[in-house]
Amino acid sequence: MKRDCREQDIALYVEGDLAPANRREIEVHLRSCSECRELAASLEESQAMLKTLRNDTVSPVALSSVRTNVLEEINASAGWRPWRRWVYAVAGAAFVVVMVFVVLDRAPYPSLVQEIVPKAPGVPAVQGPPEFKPLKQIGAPQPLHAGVAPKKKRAVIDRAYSEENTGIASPPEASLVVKLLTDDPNVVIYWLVDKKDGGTL
Amino acid sequence: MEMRATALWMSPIDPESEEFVILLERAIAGDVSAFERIIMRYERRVLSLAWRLLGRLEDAQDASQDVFLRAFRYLHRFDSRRPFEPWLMKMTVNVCHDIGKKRRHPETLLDPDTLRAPRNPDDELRSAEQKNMLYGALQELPEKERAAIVLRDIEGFATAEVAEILGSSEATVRSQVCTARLKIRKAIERRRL
Repeated sequence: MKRDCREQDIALYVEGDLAPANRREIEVHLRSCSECRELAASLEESQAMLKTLRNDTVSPVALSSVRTNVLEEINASAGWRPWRRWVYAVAGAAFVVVMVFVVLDRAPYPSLVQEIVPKAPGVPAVQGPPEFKPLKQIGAPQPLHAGVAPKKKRAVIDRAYSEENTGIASPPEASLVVKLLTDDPNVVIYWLVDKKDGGTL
Repeated sequence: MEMRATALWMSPIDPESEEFVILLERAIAGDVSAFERIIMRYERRVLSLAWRLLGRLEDAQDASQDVFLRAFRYLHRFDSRRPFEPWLMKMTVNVCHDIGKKRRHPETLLDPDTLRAPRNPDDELRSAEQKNMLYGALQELPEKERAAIVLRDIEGFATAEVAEILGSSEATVRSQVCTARLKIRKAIERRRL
């Protein structure tokens, strides 16, 4: 065991890898031990031979071959370029933003329901905010924008209208139709509410 | 001496390195010509190391290509405040490790007839024999010992740099290096008999 330790120290000593204190210790030992001196000499020789491999260089042809292949591969697969990743990321983010705007622009906002007018006879109309005029009885179809403030959205519950104009027959007192008017005159959304189950808006 | 080399290696970036950092930034931005200059600067080092680790030029060329392609792919992850060469050498060691695992017949690297051939008076032939003998002895080492001694004694890196490249401690590297030196010495003596 002690001999192994000494061998390893000598293997480090011949290349100057020992700390100064250990180096001095080995030097003292080598003066008195011929066997370790032989080992040190043999190691110095083998290390000198090993270092001759430093002069062993690769041919320029081999280097050129590697370089050419690498550059061809890089040019062929341009997808590896870092900026490509950013282009895809920005394009994806832009697509998401556009889709969000489109959906928000078309979707009815429950908070923007302005007016609820039940059509059943004898039932008083529930009026919305004063700036919006309640619709008259809609026995006959009304122009979609009649009495509606520009650029505002509103809802009208009109069972009669739903039966007459949409052809959706609902049992009496069983369901309501919510008509949502949007900024786009060509877009009208109808929402059926079943009152049987105590459904509410 | 070794401490001085380590201190130099860890020293702040000198003007020459700043020029290299600009080259790196251009390569990161996708400038292939800038990356070609980086390849030309390190190709000899990478191919030599791969050859010494793998023992076969064809494998070493494959490994070098893989190293540079990986380097180009992951260049944006490199911290330009740190030295580039150990980063590349670490990648080379890792790629060689992968290729070494896939290699089917590592024993075919050795050519016993050539290694045991009687000495020829011609110096060139003797030199070739000696080279074969040394490469054979290197290939007989366990992978980690081989990497440590190649980086330390042939490539000339300091112990601290070798530890950084191999991802181990300096004490481990010293242990691997001294064991490998003793084994190389024994292999040389055995082949001389």
